[in-house]
Amino acid sequence: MDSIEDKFLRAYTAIQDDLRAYVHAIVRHAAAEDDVLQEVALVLWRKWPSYDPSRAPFGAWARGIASTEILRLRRRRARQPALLDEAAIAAIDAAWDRHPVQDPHLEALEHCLEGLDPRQRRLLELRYREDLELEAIAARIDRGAEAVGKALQRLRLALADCVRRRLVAS
Amino acid sequence: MTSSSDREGLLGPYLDGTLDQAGVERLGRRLAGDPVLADELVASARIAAGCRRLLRGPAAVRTMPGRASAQRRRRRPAPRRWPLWAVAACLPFLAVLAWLMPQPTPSEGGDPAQPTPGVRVSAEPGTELRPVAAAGGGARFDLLAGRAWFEVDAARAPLPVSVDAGPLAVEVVGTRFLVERRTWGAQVEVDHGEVRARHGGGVDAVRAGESLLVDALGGDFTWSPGTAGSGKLSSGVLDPGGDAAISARHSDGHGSTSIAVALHDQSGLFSLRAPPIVELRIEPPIGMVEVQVVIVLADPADGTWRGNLVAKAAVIEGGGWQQVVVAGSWQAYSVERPLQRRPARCTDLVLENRGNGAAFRLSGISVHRAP
Repeated sequence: MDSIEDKFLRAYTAIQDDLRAYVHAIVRHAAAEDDVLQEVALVLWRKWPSYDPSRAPFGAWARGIASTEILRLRRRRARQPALLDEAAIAAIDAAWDRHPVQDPHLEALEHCLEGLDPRQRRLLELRYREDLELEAIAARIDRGAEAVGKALQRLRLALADCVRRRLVAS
Repeated sequence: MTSSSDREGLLGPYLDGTLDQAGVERLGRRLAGDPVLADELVASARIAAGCRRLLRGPAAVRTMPGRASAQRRRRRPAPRRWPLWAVAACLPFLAVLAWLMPQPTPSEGGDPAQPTPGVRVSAEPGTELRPVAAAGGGARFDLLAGRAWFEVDAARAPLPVSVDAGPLAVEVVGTRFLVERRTWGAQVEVDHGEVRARHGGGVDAVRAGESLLVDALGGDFTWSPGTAGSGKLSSGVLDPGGDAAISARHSDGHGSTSIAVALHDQSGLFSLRAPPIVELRIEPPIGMVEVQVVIVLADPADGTWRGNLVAKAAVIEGGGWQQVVVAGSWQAYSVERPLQRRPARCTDLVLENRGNGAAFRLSGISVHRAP
């Protein structure tokens, strides 16, 4: 028999990556994302006994708590990228519901990353492994910051398309 | 509806944090009326978060199989970020190392070097890594000091590829992994695939997502308190009511001193929030000191290690208070064990090292929340 803790951990682990993506979509600041996710995990655990799966999937419930935490974060921390307003967050929520994450999303992404050429891979590593801002990346690879930003967004969309195709094919 | 180029012009800067307040407000208004734009934001954010997860290494925590095993095979530390002041402090030291290195094979910091077909290597500045002739084919490297990332393409590399890091020898077929050799020992972290690690007369298979940490003699790396050169606070360290301990060990050699401090919260309930700051004071100044902070959660009930391992290494100069910001994926704690808010503070750890005649003291360690 699973303990309440085991059940919670299993549920949380299943949605953790997508929850992080959701928080990232709104916060876009690694340290602040960690803060939000930690608070969300605490709240989820405290409220776990009252969670009713018939009313909402766990992921949607977690996103609701995350958006509340994000709005609280807006009041606490001034030095971070501007945050969207509540209506825009609701629009993102609706889009999230329209496109539930499919397993195995990360494995598909890993395959797609392996298909990139070295320059594209390097760009992503500078942005996401080394956590560099666009200006710093631009200086490292001798390109303009705007061009780096556009290249990154095209890469993200190309990878999203690749992941979608892989998941459909599988 | 927003055109494709408009979407790119808004979403890219937004996700990369360069869109100003007015731009974010404009994006917000459009999101409310343009589902395609919102869909693209969702897809891009999932890719961004996935890239961060995959390229940095996993943040999720698994239950460790058992105490004895876990001491050998710990969760990999989070990627380390070296502050500028630490790099600056290292420069004279690195210059000497560079002068001592006759064959600095791998690239340092820049794009990976390919010393052998199918083997890509990136090394931390100051790393001493040399290719050596491999008897019976294959490729072999000696890691004398520092840390280096290896990426082995099994289809192109002369196999087997091995890395000798003193107390730890790593043999691979096709994988991505990191090998680190310090004065306190060595470790290998495997990012993809699997390696065979020889140490202290034994062989361990280390798989993706795992790391192996051995001491300077190749033995299991243990945080044994109470022995010469180590210190322990058995109660009141992290929580007055908890069963927590702090232990430390150090080693000397090669002109530097390493001190590793582990904070164990054996209650299994941890209170730190990202990023905790560890303050260290080292007296008297003894030059360059490498500090590694490891935080471990353990469950005393069944002896199972349940926690994450988060480490931050920094090189600091002795004397005066120095702060080490512990980096890591803190949300991971909540995956394995929900957190409880507790005050975290420890004080008065004293280490004495008489081995080389120079005593030093490490005291007043405190762990507290970031503002």
